Amino acid sequence: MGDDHEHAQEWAAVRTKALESLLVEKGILSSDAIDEVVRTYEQDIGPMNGARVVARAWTDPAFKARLLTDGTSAVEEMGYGGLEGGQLAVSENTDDVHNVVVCTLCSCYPWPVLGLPPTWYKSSAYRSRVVIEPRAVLSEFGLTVEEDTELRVWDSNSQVRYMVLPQRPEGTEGWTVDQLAELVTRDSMIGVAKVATPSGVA
Amino acid sequence: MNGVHDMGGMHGFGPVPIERDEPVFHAEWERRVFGLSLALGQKMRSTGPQLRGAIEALPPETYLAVSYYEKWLRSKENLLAQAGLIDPAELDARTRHFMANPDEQPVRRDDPGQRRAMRERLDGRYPAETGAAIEPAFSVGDGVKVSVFNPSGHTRVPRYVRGKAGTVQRFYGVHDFEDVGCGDVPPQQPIYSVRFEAVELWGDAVDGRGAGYLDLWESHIEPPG
Repeated sequence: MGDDHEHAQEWAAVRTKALESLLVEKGILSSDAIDEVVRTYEQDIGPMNGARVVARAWTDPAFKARLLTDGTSAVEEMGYGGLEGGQLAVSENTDDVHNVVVCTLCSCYPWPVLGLPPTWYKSSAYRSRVVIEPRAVLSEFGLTVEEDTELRVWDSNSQVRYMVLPQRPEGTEGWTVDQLAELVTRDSMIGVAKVATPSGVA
Repeated sequence: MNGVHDMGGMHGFGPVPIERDEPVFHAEWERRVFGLSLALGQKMRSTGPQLRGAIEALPPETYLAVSYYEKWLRSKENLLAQAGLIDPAELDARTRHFMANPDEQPVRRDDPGQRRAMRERLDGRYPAETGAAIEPAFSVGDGVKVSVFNPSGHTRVPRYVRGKAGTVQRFYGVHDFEDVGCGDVPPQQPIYSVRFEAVELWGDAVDGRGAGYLDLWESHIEPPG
């Protein structure tokens, strides 16, 4: 890091400008097509989608059943689907089972419901370690999984993408879907965190 | 291929670099690399195996040294050069130009038609299942063993499961086969979710009750024997 890191960033920035300018000049790509992609993944598609899916599953048992059986069709009911999400599987956390998702080979991730993966998800450390020492990795996120809880590690391939259905926190009885969705974090849907009981609730 | 990208179970990479409240992109160039990569994918009709294979084909020293989006950038350069769309010498010359003129931005040229096509691509649906009527050879609950093989091209089978015994948990339908250079195997195959007990994968190294799950194509697995 430090100087090397800054130097690499500078080089990549200049190289990207060079590549984009050639692609646009040659008529291979248009600037506004690139803008459209960036805007979509920076503003429209992200973990707020998955949070709504989770909140609905917490409040609608029939939807939850469909979500666990056929995640792709269930999230499509809410309008979510598309690139890097051709097939979605959802794994449910319970008192006895905790699920966590990785892509050891690269960065497969359910874009339509979670957006683009965070840098740590794509890091060598996470990809190498979470399969062999998941508890040690989860503890770095501040999550303790007891030795007798079954810890399932889902190594995503290109075809089926995974999302975790976290447990609904205590003290949220009677909450609306919108209120619940506010509580659901990206990390809880990857499985490196739980959804915390909201403050002020006993 | 048995590359450095296949890192499941490796030691030595240190703690996970967790960044709180991370932005979607960390710099303008990451935005542009991401955007132009998807736009190129649409334009060149690139396949997943091509894109992933191009990243895995980066020299191992480079793969480990550079950031995620720089891997995208370098692999796109290589794909564009192979397709004859960008001359590497021209790209080097243009890079020197922008180094000498740091305030200059790439020329803008908009094209409503291309933008609309991109929008349609972003709004589209891409079912992973092909719908082909192929009867799966294995059933849920079957014991299976992962074949031992070392393809030189892209494969979805990481080294840490090869030769390991597992149980079929779920059938995910028929999909295109995504491995490259595996010889005479069907181009469409059933995919199964296979469960491997943690102790089968890692022996004494396990840190508690657990299992690893991986989706495998039918030609990746065989009866336990």
